[in-house]
Amino acid sequence: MSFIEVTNLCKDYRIAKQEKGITGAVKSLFHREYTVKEAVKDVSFSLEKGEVVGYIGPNGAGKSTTIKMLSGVLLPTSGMAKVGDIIPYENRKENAKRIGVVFGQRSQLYWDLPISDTFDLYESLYSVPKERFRRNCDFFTELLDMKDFLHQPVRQLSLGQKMKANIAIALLHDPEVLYLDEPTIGLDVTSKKVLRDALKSINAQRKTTIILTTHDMDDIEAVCQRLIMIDQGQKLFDGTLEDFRLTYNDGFTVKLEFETTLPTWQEFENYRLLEQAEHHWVVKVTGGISSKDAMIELIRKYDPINLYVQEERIEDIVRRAYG
Amino acid sequence: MEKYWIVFKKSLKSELAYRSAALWGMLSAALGFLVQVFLWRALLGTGVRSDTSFPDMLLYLLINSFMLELTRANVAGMIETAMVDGTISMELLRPISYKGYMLSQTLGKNIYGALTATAPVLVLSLFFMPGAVLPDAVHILLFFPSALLGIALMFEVTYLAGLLAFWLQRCWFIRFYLYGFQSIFGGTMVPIWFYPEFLKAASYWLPFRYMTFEPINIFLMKTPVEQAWVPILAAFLWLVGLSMADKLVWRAATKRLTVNGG
Repeated sequence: MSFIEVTNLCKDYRIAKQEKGITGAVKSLFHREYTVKEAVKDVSFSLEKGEVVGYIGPNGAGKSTTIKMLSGVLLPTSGMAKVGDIIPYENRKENAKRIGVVFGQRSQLYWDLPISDTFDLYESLYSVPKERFRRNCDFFTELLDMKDFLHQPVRQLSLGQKMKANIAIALLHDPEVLYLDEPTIGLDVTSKKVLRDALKSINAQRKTTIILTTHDMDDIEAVCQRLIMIDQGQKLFDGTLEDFRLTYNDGFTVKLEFETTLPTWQEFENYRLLEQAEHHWVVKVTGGISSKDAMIELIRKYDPINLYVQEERIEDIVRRAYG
Repeated sequence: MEKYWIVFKKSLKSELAYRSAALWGMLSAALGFLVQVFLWRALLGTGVRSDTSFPDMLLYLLINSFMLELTRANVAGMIETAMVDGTISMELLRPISYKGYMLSQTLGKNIYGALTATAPVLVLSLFFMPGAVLPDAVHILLFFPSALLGIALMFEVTYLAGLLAFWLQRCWFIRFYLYGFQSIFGGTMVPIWFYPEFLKAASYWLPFRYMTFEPINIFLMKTPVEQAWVPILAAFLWLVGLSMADKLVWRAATKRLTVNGG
C-alpha cells in the first residue's frame, strides 16, 4: 500500500448566486439560489514515501481544496484520502503532528509578535525533542537568511519575509509530509533558489514526501520528479516530468541566424515560422522529427550561419495543456 | 497542557503590543464604573430596599465587572472572523484541540483586559468602600470554585453559540443575544435580588445566573455555607452538559466547514 492514497475524492461547494446591484443584493435576502460547484471531482492518486510531486492546474482547478482535505481541514463530500494509515479529516490532530503545511496566501504567524514567538508556539505544539527543534530553528534561520528580522513584529515584515518564516515553521518539526501551496509567492530570485535547494536536500536526507502546488513551473522543474495536473476538479495527467513532456510536447523550436538578408520562407509540413526578425527566424518543428534531421533539413534549405535548438520549456507546455 | 499555556501566554503578549489601547480601555472602564456607582447610590438612597447595602452593591459591581471582563473578547466573534477570512484553515492545521486553543486564546486577551480595565476600578472603589463587610474564610474558599465554574460556563456558552458561525458565516448578532440573556437571566445588569418572582423563577432554568450572580452571592455571604453546594453543583452540571453538546455540534460543524478564499 502506498504512503498517501487518494481514492475517488470529491468535494462539492454550495455557492449562493448573487445578482448584480443593490436590488439584486436585497432580492437575495429573501430568495437565494444556490449552485453546486464540484471543486474536486473523482480524483485518485497514490504517492510513495519520499516522492516529490508537483500538483498543478490553472486557477480554481481544485488544488488547494485537495490539499485541505489531505491536511484534515476539509471533509470530502465522497471518496477517501489516507495519509500513512491515518484518515486526515477523521483524525485531524494526529495527522497534523506529522505534516507541515504552507498556504502561500495565508500566514500562520502572530501578527503583533516577532517570528521568534511563533517559533516558541510551534515548539510546544509538536512533540519534537527540544534540542532537535532548536537545531532546526537555527538551521532554517540561517538557510533562509532570517536572522535580521527574527525579532521584528510580523506586521512590519514584507511579504517575502513572512513567507520565509511560514516555510520555516512548516519544517521545524521534521514533518513526514509537506504540503506546499504556492510557497514561492513573494520570494526573490535568490530565496526561490534557496528554497528549491532546501526542499531537494530535505527530501533526500529525510525522505520527506512533498506535494507542491505552484504556478511557477521553474519550481516544478527544479524539485519534482512527478507531476499531477488537474483542471476543473478532474485529474488530467499523472506521470513523470518526462512523460508529461512526451504527452504534451509539441516539438521544439529552432532559431536560425543569417549574416545578410533573409532567404524566402517556404511553408512545408511540420515546419512553421514563428517569428521573423531582421537577421533571424524562429521555426517551430513538430511531428516527432528528431532535432538532427530538422537541423540537416534547415541547413540544406536555408544555409544559416548559426543554428540553435531550444526544447520547449515546461511552462509553455503547461500553458498549452491548460488550453 | 504546555501548548495551551503557550497559546495563552502569546495571546497575552499580543495584547501588550498596543499600549495606548490599554490606557483608553482603563479610562472607559473607570468611567463606566463611576456611572454605575452613582446610579446605584441614588437608587439605594431612596430607601425602598433595606436588605441591600451600598457597600454590598459596590462589591457586586466590582466582582461582576471583573468576571465579565474575563469573557469579554468573545469566542463567537473570533470564530466568525476566522470563518469570514478563512484563517480557520490555518488554525485547524495545528495539532491542538480547537476548543482548547480558543479558550487559551480568549483567556490571554481577557486577562489582560481584566487587569488593565479593572485595576483602576479597584483603586477607585477604595474611596467608596468604607463599611464593606469582607467575607469569612469559608465563603472565600467557596467563592473561588464557584467563580471559576462561572467563568468556564461563560466561555462554554459563547463557544457553543460561536460554533453557529459554521452555519451562519456572519454571526455578530449572537454576541448581542448572549449579552441580553446574560443581563436578564444572569443578573449582570441588575442583581437578581431585585427581580420579580416570575423572572427569578425563570433564571433557575438557564445557565446564566451561575456565571456571575451565584459566585457573588457566595462572596457577599448571602448564600449560607450549607447551601453553597447547590449553585456550585448546578454550574458544574450545566458545564458538563454543555461540553457534551459542543462535541456534537463541533462534529456537525466540521462537516459544514467551507474555507473562504483559496
